[in-house]
Amino acid sequence: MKDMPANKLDPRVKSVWRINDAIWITVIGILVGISLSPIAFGFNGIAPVLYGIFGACMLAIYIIWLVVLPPIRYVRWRYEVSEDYLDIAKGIVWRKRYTIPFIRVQNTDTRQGPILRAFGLASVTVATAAKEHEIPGLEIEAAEQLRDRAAELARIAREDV
Amino acid sequence: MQQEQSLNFADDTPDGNPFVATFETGKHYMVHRSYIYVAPVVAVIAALFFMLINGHRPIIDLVFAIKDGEISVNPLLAIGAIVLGFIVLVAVFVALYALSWKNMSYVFDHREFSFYSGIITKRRVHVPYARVQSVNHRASIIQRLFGVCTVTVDSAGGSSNKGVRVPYLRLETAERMRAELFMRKAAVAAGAENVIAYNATADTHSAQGAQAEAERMAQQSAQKPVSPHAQAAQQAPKAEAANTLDDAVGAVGHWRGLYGGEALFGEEPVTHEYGLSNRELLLTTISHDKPLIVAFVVALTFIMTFAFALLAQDEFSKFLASFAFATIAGATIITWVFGLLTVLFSYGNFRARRRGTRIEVERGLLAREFSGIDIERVQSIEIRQSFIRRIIGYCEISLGRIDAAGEQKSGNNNSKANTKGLVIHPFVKIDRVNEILDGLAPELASRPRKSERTPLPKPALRRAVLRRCLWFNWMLWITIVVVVCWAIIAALFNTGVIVINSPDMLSKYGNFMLGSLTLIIALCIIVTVGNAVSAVFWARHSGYIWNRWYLLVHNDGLSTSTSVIPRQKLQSGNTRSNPFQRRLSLSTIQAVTAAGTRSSMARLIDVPQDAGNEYLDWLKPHR
Repeated sequence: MKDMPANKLDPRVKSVWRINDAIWITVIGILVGISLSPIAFGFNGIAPVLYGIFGACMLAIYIIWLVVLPPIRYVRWRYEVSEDYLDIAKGIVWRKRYTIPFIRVQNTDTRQGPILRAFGLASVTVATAAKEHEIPGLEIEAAEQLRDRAAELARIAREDV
Repeated sequence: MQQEQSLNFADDTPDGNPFVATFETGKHYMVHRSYIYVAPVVAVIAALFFMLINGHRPIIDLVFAIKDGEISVNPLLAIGAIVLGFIVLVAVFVALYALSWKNMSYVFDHREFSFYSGIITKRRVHVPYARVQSVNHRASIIQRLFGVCTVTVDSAGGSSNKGVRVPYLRLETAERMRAELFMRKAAVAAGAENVIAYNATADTHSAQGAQAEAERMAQQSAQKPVSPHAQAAQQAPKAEAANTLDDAVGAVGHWRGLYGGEALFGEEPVTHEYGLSNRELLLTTISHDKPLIVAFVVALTFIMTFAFALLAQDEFSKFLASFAFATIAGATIITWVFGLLTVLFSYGNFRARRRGTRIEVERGLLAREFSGIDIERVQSIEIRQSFIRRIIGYCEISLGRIDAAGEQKSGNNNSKANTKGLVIHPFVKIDRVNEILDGLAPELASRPRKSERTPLPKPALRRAVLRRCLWFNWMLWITIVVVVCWAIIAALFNTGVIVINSPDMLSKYGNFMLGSLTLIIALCIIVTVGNAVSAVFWARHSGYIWNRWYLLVHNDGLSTSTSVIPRQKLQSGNTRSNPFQRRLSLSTIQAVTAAGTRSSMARLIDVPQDAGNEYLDWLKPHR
């Protein structure tokens, strides 16, 4: 295997992922639970069994997404800003490795949702003419430094598409 | 005389200044007046057609009600009301379009081109000259009659590309506009945007005397049709291949319409030009997959409809069944022929040429389309073979380009065409590809050739067969679901849970189930065998190669596609691998370019992991 990029994300990003995923799983879980109700209460005595299975599935999903996945995802998520390209490695099952030359970068910005803000984190987005690449959880200070650095490198290497 | 009148920029340079504008900087120009009386008519007809398609039922009911005497009307009065209604509708539209026309203008500023529009909400779209990617125009049949067209200026501005569409410009104005935009772009690049000279005679020539001039010219061209085609041929020594369709329509095909004005010649010399020969045009049409696919879908829909009608087994469906075959065959053949004609017309009068630094493609017998792309703006070369074309050894060559998503939504046809890029040859023998590309774009000569590609490693074959025949073979999964359902229903019959008393019904449903099952299993086998053959071809012949400047990715199969991407145009690249690939030391390489409205991707599955890593290194800019 090729050398991994040097930098890791901020460890607090794991909590951000957990909260984010917990919200989504809960919302989808409630919707599925509601849509199951006609079947569950349509047949006599089926409700406890059905909701028992449903609850077990939900529990398993919660455990996988909140306990098992975040540390692995965190370990696999690496990035490195070199002189003229951005290197990203991520993914647990499908492992991806991106190279984004700075001469192709159109703009870079930092973004902060409510959850990220609560943890004092920000994400950096690097956009080329074709796609956006996001580095999700960095300390605000580090994120701004990275954004400025990427913008500076992109400005130096500017070229027409 | 025609030649003398034509506007020649190169000769009009007064003091050696290469930047001569024919549009005044900062002045608001209006679009052509025909916008007021042509566009509304098109819109009204479209609206009526839409109403008829969607609301035909009430109209038919009404007609029957009148016929049966349930509603009594005076026929004269009814016709009068319809005519009056139509006139009022058109009048309202004309008034709206007139208002819209008054508020519509375009301006060439020092650094950017702006288009103003909107009656209540004022809109202004502006494109800096430096961002201009390509300037294209197309004219519908009705627009062609009037010699006007819609100009599209595509620009690259980050991941969401904005484009400007200027409707209803005279052909002559459109051609001047294209020249103007590229001239101003060059001026900005040279830092000379403030020293642009303004050629007032060339401008007023078209702006003021336009009407009279155009009418005079229309008469002239009607009396003595001059074919710009012939002139173009004189200019381009390498012009080749014309077909009977082009010859037959001849001057009509190049007729510039009522207000078209004269063609612009002599901007820059044409160094290479070609059209389609009879054989190429005919085979393009016949081997085009779109008509076949549409006809197939139509046939399938009809067969399904009849199958359900038969199941109902009443008098009416028996009556239907008596001419089912004729209807299915008829409908299929009509859609197919219609599709063929559409393709034939869209590639009629096809010309591709190299003019200066640009590649220009013109096509269309009825609706006409003009596309131009600067050689620097070519994002990729795509060489595609559909199944039929693969058998006869022909392919289609297109250039990937950045398309504007646009403010106004373009029709379905447009967006579909966009995904294919700019077709520079719809049908060419595979061994002539290099000849065509070298003629049209000698700059791309250092690209690697397909024959030099590195083949995929051995495990790719087994993985491809499994992937296409098992994991991603949707037909197989559908068949399995159907068979399981069928087995459950059969089991329910046997255990007596479901009882059908009428033997007639029983045999009918039995036959239907048996028939559908046979059909779906047969389909599944055909699809799976096709996928297997395709997988073997893919694994044997796919490959990749890159040199200092280009990446070439070839995906083979029953239909093939080759992408050649200049390294400069690669926006980003990545590798990915799943656990199975990692066990075999394989990975997938992907290359992303900005072509299309958002982005395009070339992908090759199962290259050796080392090659994947080399690819990532290759993506890094060299110092």
